[in-house]
Amino acid sequence: MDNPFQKQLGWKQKKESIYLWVFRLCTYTIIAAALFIFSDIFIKGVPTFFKSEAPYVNTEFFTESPQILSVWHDQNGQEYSMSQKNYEQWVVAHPEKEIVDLHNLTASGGGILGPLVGTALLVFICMVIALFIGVSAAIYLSEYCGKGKLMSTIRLSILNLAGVPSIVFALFGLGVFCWLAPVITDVPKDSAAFFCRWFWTNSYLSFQGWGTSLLAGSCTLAIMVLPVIITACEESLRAVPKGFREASFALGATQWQTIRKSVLPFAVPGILTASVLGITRVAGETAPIMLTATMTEKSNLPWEQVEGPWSFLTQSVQALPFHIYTLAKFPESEHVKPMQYGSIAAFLILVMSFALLSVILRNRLRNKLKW
Amino acid sequence: MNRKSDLADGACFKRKRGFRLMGLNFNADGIVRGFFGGNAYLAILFLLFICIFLFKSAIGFIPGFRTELSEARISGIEAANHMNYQLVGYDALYTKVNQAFINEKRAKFGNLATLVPIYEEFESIIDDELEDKVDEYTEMDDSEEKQAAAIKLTTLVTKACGEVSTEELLKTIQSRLPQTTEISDNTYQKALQYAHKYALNDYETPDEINEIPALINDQMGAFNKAMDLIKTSDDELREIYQEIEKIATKTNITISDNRKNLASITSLKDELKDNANDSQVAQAIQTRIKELEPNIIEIDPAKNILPIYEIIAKHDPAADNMVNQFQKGINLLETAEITTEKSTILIHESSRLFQELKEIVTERKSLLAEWKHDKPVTMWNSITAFFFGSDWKTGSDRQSLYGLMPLFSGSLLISLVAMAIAVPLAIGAAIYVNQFANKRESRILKPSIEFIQTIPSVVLGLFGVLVVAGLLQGMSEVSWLSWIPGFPIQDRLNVLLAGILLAFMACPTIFTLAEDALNNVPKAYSEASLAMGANKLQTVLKIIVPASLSGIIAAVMLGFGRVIGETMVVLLVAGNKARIPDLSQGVGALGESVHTMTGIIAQEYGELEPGVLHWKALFMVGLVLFLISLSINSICQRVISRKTS
Repeated sequence: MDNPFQKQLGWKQKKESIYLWVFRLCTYTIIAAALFIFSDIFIKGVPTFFKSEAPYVNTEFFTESPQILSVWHDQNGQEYSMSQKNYEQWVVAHPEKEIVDLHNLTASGGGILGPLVGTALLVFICMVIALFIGVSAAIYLSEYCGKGKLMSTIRLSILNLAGVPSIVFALFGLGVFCWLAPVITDVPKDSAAFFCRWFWTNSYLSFQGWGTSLLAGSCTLAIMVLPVIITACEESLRAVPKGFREASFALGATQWQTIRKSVLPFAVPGILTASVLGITRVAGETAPIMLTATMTEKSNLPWEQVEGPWSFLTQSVQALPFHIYTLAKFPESEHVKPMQYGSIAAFLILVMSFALLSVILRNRLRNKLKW
Repeated sequence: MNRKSDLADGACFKRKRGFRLMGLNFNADGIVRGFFGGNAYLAILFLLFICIFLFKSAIGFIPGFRTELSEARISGIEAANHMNYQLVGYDALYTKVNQAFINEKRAKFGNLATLVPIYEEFESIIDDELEDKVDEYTEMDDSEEKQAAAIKLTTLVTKACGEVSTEELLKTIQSRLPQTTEISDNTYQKALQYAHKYALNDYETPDEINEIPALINDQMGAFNKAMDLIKTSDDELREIYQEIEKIATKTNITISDNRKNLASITSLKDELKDNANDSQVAQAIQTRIKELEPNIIEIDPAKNILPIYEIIAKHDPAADNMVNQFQKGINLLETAEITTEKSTILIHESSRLFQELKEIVTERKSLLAEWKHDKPVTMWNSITAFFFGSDWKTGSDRQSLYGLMPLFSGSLLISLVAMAIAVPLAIGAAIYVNQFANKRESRILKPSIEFIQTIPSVVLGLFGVLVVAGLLQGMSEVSWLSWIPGFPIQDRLNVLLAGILLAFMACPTIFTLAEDALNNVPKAYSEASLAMGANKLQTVLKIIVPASLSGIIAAVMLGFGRVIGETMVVLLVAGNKARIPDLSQGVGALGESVHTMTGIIAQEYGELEPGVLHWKALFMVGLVLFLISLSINSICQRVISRKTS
């Protein structure tokens, strides 16, 4: 039965509800687009991880590096696609079959172990550098310095650094780390900007750069992520109540003792969150890595063919984002699809799990530390 | 006792002081402080260093580009470019008209046109499968037997041709005439008849088949005549252009070789001065100088430069001729009978473009009349040629052109499209989540939208290439959507696609910041408004949004900064063709492929030695990007800080 006391909706109420629905539509459009992307990638990508036979997990995908994919037909018109190594074995095993219409696709066979390892190394070295500089800068900004003009300049420059496009960092890294950074070497290159004798040894200090290398890539990424880390760490240090410091000073501790004993321990979870956030940022970056750290023809794993730590650091590496970029060059081939979707699904899972970790850490932190 | 003496000395009241030097404290605390401080200053140093390095690497570009430009002027390449520019315009126009022509032809004589490929398909079947039979038949003497054999052969041909299914046939024909949708029975039978004739006539293609293209063209009447006029209108100009290009390129190579040789001679001479004492080294250097010197070839004005003036004198009549002939063609087109809508649109567009071509020709004519090979190129010319140049052409033997305009306009257009999509969505979402959603809803919505930020751009780019590109193109070809301006889209990878993907990337940035700004509006504002009897919507639109407007603007600008600096998405989906989008066609420009400032750096950095002009040009582009993002950022900071104060 109708409620006789219910008011009829006036045009103002109608207008309000129309607006409400428009705003709601905006929100759910964004969410729907995100869901569409995630579901499409996962539905098409996850099958690459599994197999229908015995171990059920596609071990090749996780334990091998990208290889050339060979696609061919035999005389009966049946189609085969295998990585090049398997193709060679197949040719030996089936001498009776005729190979028709063979073509090779770069980096579409094998697996993603090399890129995964490369990305992990890049991120690790980058975070070591960035955390070292970032945390100490944050400590200085929040604990030592006052509110002078210089400090506001530093803050402003950090904020500005955060807005610079990654390709500009990449260009900078290419120019500085790949072509200009100092190296101690016996034979300086002609392209070195400047070289001189290294003390009294036979070696030279040569400004010839580290080339396309792991170290150059990590340093570029570190500079890029520095503003994020500094800002987040400073925030978590400032969140520690002032009373902790004052109590410590009142007991006669020096400033360093105060920081070490009664500020840092409470800020550590926040710093951890910041670093996870930084990892999320860095792992997804492609342009800086592309210019400074990766090469297309690289196929061996980082620890193969290496003499000593320096040559380990100055070798070029594979990286997952760059691998995906390479795969993006043949969009219309059916044979590349599993590799394409498998790679982006794996990459997305990796990055998202870090992001999720940072969200969980942040929430636990908020619940745990309440002053 | 001991204690007392300490007190007496006053040692326990003494401040522990470390070693001081130049005002710096070298005790433990001072060192720690200095260490942390040093790291903080590193950030500012990085920013400074990036500025300095970018400037240093980029600034050499302007004099270097000036040298190249002046060499191009002396050798006459510049004049050739003026002519080429007109020809490029002509080509674009010709393609349009030709499209209209082909389209019209297909509409009018579609069946006749498909006859040829079908017939040819049959011909190849006969060649492949019935060769013996045909040979056998040909070698027969004229008799009754032969007539019987002829009937047998025709049935064989019909059978062989019938084995090819209609779909297969259609597919092969579509590969040649993509717009064919069906094969009519009539056409099929005709083709079969001709195939019989072919088999019976000792592999001789029937005359009717050979005449078909000419027949069609004849029946196109005025259109065909117009096409004849248009097709030949550029011949004269093109001939002149090729002539001038040949001379100018040769001179240009000589000049740039001379410059390189001169540079190495000067550096060798410097070395000679340094090694003046060591006679052996000095001699070696001198011999090298002597080797290099004959390589320097004087430019002979009479031989290298005067011919260019002679050719330029021929340019004006040739260009006029082209325009006049084209005009005649266009006039004819207007009288021609045109049936299809598509052709009408294309021709209408062509006559509009023709007006532009006329303008281009008059402009270039006056430029060529003023052209002098020895007019000096100033630094200012070089700067304007970079910032306003309309061509970015690298990687060929010919003079490289570094014009920022196509890249800048591409970047800007993509960013504008992205912002046009992202701003309403993100701000609408921010208002909804902050004001209208209940607590539980907003606790789910907020992190999910923020979560989008974590999708790496390269993943989004690949997703765009694999999925969204196909969707967008498929959608643009659906007939009931064709009323949308700009549909169907010309290129698979285009501005709109890049804009959509970037909008998705910018949404979370704008959303987060705008939501923050809305959150910062004091509660008293909305309470006061509600107390005055305003409803929720009025409060939101008239009180809360205006109060947080500065924050929202900052959010939009930061989103813009993020979009214009994005690299991987545009590199993968913008199509990477360095040309200025043709805005005169309205929304259709969104369907074009463009190149961007970020994309060009990522695409062309490889295999460049530092210091070459191309490298410096890329750094110039990087510098422009850097300055854009820096200015956007600092404006935002000012807006935000003014709000908080």
